[in-house]
Amino acid sequence: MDILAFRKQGTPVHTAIHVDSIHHSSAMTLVTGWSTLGTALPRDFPQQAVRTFRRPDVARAHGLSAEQGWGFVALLEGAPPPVVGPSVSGLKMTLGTTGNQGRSVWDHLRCAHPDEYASVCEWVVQHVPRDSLFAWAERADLGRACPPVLAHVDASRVVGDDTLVLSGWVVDVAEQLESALLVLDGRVVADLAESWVRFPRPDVLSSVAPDGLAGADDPGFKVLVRQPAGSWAAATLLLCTKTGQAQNIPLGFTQASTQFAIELLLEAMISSMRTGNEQWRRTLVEWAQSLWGSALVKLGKRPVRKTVHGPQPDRPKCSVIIPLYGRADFMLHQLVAFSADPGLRDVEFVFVNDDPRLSGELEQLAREALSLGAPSFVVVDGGGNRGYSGANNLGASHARSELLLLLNSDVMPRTPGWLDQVISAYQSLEGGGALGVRLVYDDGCLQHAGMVQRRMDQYPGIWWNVHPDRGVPEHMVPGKGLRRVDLVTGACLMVSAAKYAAVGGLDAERYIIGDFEDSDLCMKLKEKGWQNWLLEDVVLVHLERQSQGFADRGAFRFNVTLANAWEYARRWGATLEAPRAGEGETRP
Amino acid sequence: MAHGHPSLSKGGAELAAHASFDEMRRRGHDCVLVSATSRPSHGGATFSQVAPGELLLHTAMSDAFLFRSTSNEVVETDFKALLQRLRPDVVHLHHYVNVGLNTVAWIRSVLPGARIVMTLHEYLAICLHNGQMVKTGTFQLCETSSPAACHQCFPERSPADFFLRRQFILGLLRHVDRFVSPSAFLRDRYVAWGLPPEKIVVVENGQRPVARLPPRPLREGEGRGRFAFLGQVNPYKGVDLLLKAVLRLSPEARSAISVSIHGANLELQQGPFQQAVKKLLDEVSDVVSWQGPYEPSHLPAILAGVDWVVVPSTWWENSPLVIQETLSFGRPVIASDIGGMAEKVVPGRHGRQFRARDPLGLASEMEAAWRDVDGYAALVDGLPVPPTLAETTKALEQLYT
Repeated sequence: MDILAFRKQGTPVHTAIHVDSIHHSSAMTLVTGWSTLGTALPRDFPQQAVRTFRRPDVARAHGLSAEQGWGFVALLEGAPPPVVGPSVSGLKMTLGTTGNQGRSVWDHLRCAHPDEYASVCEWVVQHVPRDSLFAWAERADLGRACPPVLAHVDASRVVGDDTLVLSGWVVDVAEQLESALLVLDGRVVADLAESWVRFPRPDVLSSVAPDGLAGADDPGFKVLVRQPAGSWAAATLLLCTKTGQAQNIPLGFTQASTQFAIELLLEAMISSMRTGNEQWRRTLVEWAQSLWGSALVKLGKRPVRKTVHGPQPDRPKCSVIIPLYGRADFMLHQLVAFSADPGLRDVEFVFVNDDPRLSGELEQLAREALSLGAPSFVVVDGGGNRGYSGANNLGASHARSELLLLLNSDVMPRTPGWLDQVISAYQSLEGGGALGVRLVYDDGCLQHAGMVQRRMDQYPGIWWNVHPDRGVPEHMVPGKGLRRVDLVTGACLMVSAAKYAAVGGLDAERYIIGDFEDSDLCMKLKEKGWQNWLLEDVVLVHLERQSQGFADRGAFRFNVTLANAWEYARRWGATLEAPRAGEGETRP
Repeated sequence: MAHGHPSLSKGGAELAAHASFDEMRRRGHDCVLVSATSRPSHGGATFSQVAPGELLLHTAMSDAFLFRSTSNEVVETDFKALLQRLRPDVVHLHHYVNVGLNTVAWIRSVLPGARIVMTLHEYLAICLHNGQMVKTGTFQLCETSSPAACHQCFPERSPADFFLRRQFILGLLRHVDRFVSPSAFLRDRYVAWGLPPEKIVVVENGQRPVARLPPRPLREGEGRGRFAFLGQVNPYKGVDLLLKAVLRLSPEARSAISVSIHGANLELQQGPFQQAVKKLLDEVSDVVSWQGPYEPSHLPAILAGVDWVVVPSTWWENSPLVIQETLSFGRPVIASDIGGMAEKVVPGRHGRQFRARDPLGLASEMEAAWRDVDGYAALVDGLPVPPTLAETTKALEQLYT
């Protein structure tokens, strides 16, 4: 029990010393309590340092005058010994190892005279090393002694077993904050203030500082900490000020998916674009990439299940790789649509399930598709979400043809024979890299006929993929034969398997989930000296969600796009700035 | 194959399918009728029998959006086995609902050389709004479907979903060799939607031969002022429009004209519609008598007592059975001037037309019809006889080879 009680046998109660609480770490022990003996503790009390203060409650309880009731806080070196001194001037004293009844050191100091409370707290902060202090401060706040640092942790998540992501805000009007210590299991593991990314939080400012405050520009923070597996049950964030005050924020870490954690971090992406802090932007993207990369590494260790539906062609003229995410029924729709086309008979269709939620439905739909006369196909299931790049790369690793067609599941044919046209066009190219086709919306308006890149003032430092003539009725944009282009969309992209492999396929790790990885592939092919082309003669329908603009796809996807755009610009910015030759060349 | 059997549901299309089957058999064809039902069967069997040669296929169309029945391996196996057993030269499907579009692909896979013929009965594939081609909400008539327009009617489904719906249905209908449309209007709608025009043939639903009724004898000075409404009472059939037209008759006509309504299923309609019809009926009780539902066998007696049958539907219709029946018995029709009605009721030949959904237009047509006794005699004299079952079956036989 946490009692240290020593009382002179037979003496009245009013000469007593009592210990309220004992807080300890491996390095030191802190004892709080009271005494009716005056300001001095017994000589052989093994204190390193002691601070006494008035305790009106003690005086009242013992019927003593105000100056006879004293509180103390004492520091002892090392962990508390089981027994501290057998006797002190006739007082018998026993000391047990202790808890503190669930109250923080600050709670125990609250009995101090109001005039002294703040200075007592300050004394503690000054005398106790930080990594010990947090351990005694399980519960929040220094109350009135707290410096004007307002803070809140919105989310504290564990990803996998070694990564922590925190998101929250700190308003530090007086610029008092010195460190933000993350304390796990009794140890300070990081000073978050050294690494966190700060960003604007208008919502915070409007509630805590409606009139605007200096030093409160970027209250938001995001931070990622790598921390080997351990217990995160007793986690706290200790905010320490330059004046030695501290505020303790208890943290409850819960497990989060990689995607959720990326979402949490990249929330700050759009505002970091506006504030223009390149370093913070880089940090955010690198954190998100590292989360994404770790998830991919783990996924790579999972067994891949390949299900064969129908007799496969011996020597497929093309392997069509179709990742599935979100909607399983697209597979049925494509297969029924493909079933009408005799030109698709010697083709290998490799559907890649990139969405574990779809597995059951896909099995059912695969059976149904075959019963409705679908061409044969395989379904490759990697047991997780690899994103567009990872899914295509997985599909490519199962492809047997020398020719790959990367195809979105929401791309539908309009007329039979289209694939043969694409194949013969590709084969007619010397040194061809990627070959794309025309894509239209379901109302016949153009969606894609090659992409160009453009800067936008709103988002400095990055390049956007622009689809020229998007939304214009297709017949108003004449085009015939082959046209040389910089970039084609990955929604329908033919490339030889050898060239795909030579450039390492789509970059799965740096481009999170999807966006810009197809442009990156085109740039890598170009870098190798292989040109990219668009076949104007083939028109497919792309059911890309057409009622929504780019920024309306949801904040999360937009932030991911920003991160990928930033990565793309980092990688290819210099190339894009350089003048280019051969653009716009056409062949009948 | 039919989407339902008349013993279980008496819709016009079920009756037409069954009549066609009877006639085929009468003409010596070896045929079997397989009608879909979602009712459970004995012991969960895939088939049961209604009458000799008339099977029920116990299946359910689990996805009404795409007309597909899923998770139905047993039905697929049993149905394919039945096809193997019968090995028909021709499979004639009436409708694609209930049987499901899967069936078409199954037939083709088991019988690569068989002739597949399908009779289209309304616009379900084109329009998700019960195949009415009437806009949701505003109930405006719809001229063409498109992913964007259908999304307007059903905002919860994306244009892409409607694109895929059409693609899916057309993808499976490609196994059909010939489509039969009872009206040119319906054919044109399906062609505009995407069916190849060369595959669609217009063949009317044939009628069993009946004795033509003589014109109703008139008293001295009486006009042709007895009108009847026959059929379902729902918002699309326009019975309320007919009652509103009665309210707009001139006092003179109103005292001379009578209207009898032989309508079914008012009690199944939504409350506001029921109340509106009942209120109108109260207001015109001097003219209109509510007779309730009728059996086909009552038809000669009903028609003997009237001069005209009014078909005031507010949707397009295809080829309403009531028009064909009425004409068979030698009575002319007053119909809305849209869709299948406009096609089947040519003014001066089969009767009269009024501007669809316009009660005033209907009122003036009724008044003119009442007054023009001589014109009536000439009209009835030259009233064409609708195609008989024997004739239409012969036309179908042409499609089977």
